[in-house]
Amino acid sequence: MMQNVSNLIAILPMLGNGLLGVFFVIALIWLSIAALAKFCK
Amino acid sequence: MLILNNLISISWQQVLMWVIGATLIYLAIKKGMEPTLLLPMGFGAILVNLPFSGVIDQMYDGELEEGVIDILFRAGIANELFPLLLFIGIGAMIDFGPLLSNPKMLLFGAAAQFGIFFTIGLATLLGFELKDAASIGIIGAADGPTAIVVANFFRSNYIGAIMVAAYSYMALVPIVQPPVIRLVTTRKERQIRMEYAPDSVSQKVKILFPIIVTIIAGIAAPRSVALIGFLMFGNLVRECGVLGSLSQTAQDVLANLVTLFLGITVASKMRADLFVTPETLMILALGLVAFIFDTIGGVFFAKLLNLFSKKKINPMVGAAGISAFPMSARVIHKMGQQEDKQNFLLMHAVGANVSGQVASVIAGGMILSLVAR
Repeated sequence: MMQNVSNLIAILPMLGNGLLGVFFVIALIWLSIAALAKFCK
Repeated sequence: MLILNNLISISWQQVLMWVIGATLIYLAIKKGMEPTLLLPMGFGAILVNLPFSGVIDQMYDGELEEGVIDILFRAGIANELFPLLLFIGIGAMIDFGPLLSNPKMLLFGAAAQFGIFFTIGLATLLGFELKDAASIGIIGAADGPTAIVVANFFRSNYIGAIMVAAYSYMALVPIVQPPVIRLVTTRKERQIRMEYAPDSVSQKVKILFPIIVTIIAGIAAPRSVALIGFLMFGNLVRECGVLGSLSQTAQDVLANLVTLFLGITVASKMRADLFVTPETLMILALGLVAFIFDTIGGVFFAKLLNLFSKKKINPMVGAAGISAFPMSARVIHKMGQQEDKQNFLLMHAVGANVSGQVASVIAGGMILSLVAR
């Protein structure tokens, strides 16, 4: 069990990066759509 | 004598798989739960668990005889061809209009992937190897093809259980989501009305959207580019306006044909020796956890936005950010109507829901990039 806990602690930064990465890509797509909507009426 | 020999060699685990197969067929036919996949998977589960079944690879007199289901598996799933082809059809089916007219909804797609990462952590805590934990967590993508691609990429032995969980919970969204949403929202929050005043979306924007999404996702998470690229290719065929017949073929013929083989081929991993294990029960439970925390992630993100926004968002819309399209959007609309008959949340929920389709694929790509095989 202790091993599992330490495995979990080891991957927590990766999990955080993964979720933040999804937000980052989605935010870029959002900005692109906003720009598209502005320039491609 | 041969028949007697076959009868004797039937194990209780195989009989259990027949029962599971029959249950999947029952749920598909009687309850209408994802019949296009659960029925082939159920029949396939029976097929591969017959003694000395000729549909899977067998050793006869020291020689390997290839079985058709295993041949299909190597030809269409081991190389990820079937799920990617299916994505062309799904892309051609999705109208991103409601999302493009209200792009803020994109954020809910991202927030509702929380369950994936939470479940990967929980599966690791329960002792699964990271590659298996990642494959289990992706059940929370609520997106069958993505789940197949990720589980197959990591060569997970649990792909059969993962597929059963992914498709079953997608079908069970109307049962899973409402109690969770009620638990984490107040009646007042569920009654929040949202105006629907969409901006008009030009065809140029609709055409450029799939190209730009592919480029951005490809640069940020290169391993997601096959998934997102095929989804967006299907959508480009739909929106370009000059490939009506191809778009229709992708939506109907291609999607149906691939689905027909996909379900029965996944059954290759539903052999009793791989499926009847304590881990299968844990995977089914973890899949439910993933869906629950996806829902909670979406709802809480909407509540967070409400702290800073003048125009309040009904937090239930956040829950539609999971990718189970269009069930989740319908569930949210229905729940809104139950609280207030004049509350029309459907188009907001559809926007969040199609965003979930994009975000779940990106989440799958992120996992492929971050977790070592």
